[in-house]
Amino acid sequence: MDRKPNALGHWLVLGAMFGIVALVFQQIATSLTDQRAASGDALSNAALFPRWVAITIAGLGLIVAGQMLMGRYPKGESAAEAEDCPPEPRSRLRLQEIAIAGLTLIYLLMLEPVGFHLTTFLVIGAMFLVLDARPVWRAVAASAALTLAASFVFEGLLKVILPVGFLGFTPPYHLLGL
Amino acid sequence: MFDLLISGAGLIASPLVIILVALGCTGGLLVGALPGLGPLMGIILLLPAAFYLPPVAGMGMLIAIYVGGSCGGAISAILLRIPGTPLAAATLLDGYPMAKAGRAGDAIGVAIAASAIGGMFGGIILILFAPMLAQIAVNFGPPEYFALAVTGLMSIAVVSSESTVKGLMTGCLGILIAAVGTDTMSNAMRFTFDNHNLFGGIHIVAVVVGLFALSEAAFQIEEGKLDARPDVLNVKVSFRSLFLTLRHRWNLLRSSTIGTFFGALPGASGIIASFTAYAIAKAQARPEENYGKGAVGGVVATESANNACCGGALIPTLALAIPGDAACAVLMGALLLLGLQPGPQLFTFSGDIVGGVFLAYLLANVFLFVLGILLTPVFVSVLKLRKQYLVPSVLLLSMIGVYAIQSSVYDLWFAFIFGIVGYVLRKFDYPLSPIVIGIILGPIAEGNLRRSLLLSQDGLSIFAERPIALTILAIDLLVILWVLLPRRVKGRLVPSRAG
Repeated sequence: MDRKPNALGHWLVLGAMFGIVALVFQQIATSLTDQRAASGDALSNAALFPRWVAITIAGLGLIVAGQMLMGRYPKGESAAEAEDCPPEPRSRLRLQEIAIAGLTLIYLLMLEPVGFHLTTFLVIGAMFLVLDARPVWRAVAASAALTLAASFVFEGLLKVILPVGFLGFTPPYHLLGL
Repeated sequence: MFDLLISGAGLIASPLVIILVALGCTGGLLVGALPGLGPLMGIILLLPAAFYLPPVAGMGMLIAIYVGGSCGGAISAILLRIPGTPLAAATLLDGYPMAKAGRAGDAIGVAIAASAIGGMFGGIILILFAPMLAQIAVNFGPPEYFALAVTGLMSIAVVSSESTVKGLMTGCLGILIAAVGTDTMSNAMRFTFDNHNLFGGIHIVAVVVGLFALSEAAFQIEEGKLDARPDVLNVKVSFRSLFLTLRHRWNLLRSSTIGTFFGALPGASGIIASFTAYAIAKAQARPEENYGKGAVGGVVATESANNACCGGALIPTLALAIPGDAACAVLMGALLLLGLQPGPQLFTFSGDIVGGVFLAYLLANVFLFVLGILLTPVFVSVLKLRKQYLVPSVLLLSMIGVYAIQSSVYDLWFAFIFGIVGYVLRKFDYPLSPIVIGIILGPIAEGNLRRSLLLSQDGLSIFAERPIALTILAIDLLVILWVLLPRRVKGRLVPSRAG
């Protein structure tokens, strides 16, 4: 089988798995030992099971490493999609993907200080536009409709308290008897 | 069995439950029809909403999504030759040729009717066998439960992916994620890094939404065609499809049995069931039936099998707390969120809820048939929804759902982080479903292992002293050894037919 060009990525992910194993042992040696929960009987030994699991991951990781050293790289989704090339330029799709991830991050940062309604309307509207939803008025209308629908279901029907932000706005669903 | 159903009837006979089951079924058909979503995603997206509902209403809604979603994929498979879910992959073999021959309405109608009948068959087997299995398991102690949890963890990883070793690794990763927080037995803080937001652990909804929904959004964008609007024909479906389906009653019965059997085997998914049922139906068919060129029997076989799988998969999930597939693992998570412990205790202490869930499952299949036929034009029009609107909508629903569980922005951050983790793992062929199974079964396995060791006079020897636990663990060990054997060694041990 031929080597896939993203072999480095496979090794990095495997390295991260070994990193998790190392982290488990580091925590057992420090935090759990300090709490006297890294040894003793099964009741007090909180490290017993995670240790076994970490050792299992390490063992399985060695098998995967062996497979990769023998040149057996699985055909992951990235490889599969390379064969099935979309009509748009890949770099543009990548940019859109990064923009959506960035907007998601902005959403998380804005949600509590700005409030659910305004944040959702702005960020989801921006997502529609980033993904080339046109005309603009339709994207704005869709964003407003989606915000209202989500608010109605979660705040009105399920009585979830969503962040109100600096505006302190809460839709008056009680007027509808909800 | 009947007492369960009678006690459950009181819980299900409420407008809220009936409406939610109907809505769940419709929602399931919608997410099933939309390529890239599917029943698992539907359940994940509405899991937070279930948290706010009474147990039978919440579980009924989620199970209805599972039932509807397992069928919805057939609509896009038949009309677009794109299975909405992998479960419908075998349906397009005959469904699409039927649509090309101008019989799209018949194909969709038969798919819905066969799914509903298959699902109903699976439900009857569920009602008959789950209480019996729970009755047997009620005598199990911690060693047997540990062995069963190991089986559940392993079977999904072994069967669910091309890369078994990676599946086992991600299953273990799920166990470690579940270990974060306060250890219930020793009260020690594990992997919390003195961050009080981690003391209660990482919420399963945040992990699941991040891993599946957020990573899926990224993959949908990468696939491109964001503004593409599929050219879909308007289709009318009639209730006459039921009679067309019933003409293949032996095929229906056989395929439903195959589906239920594969569903009840943890890890053996509806995909295997539908292809197996198709292969057998084709082998049994008369030459003039023209399988592969638009045979009604082909659609009947695949759709009845993959929906019968739902009932089958719920048997080990409810009776033994071993999820039959990833969607069942999330359903099990929903039971835990609602304060119910899956397994024999559920049947002993919450028999009315079990009965209600059984009846909700049957009701979901009735709604699947009625609403599926009536609302097909709606589902067909939804297929025209552009991805540029779909992706942000799914993202919003995911995030608000995660927030709603504990009103915590930290959960959203965890979801975001797990979104990145899920994306990277999928890119490099690490299956995600075993992580969910690991999160759910990990604490069960750990608790029972430690309880077994406390009961034991001599450490791990307790497993050798308990015949049932020993047998289950021995089978697990044999399976794992078989899986880890190099292919050439396997080839020597089991010579191929050609050889």
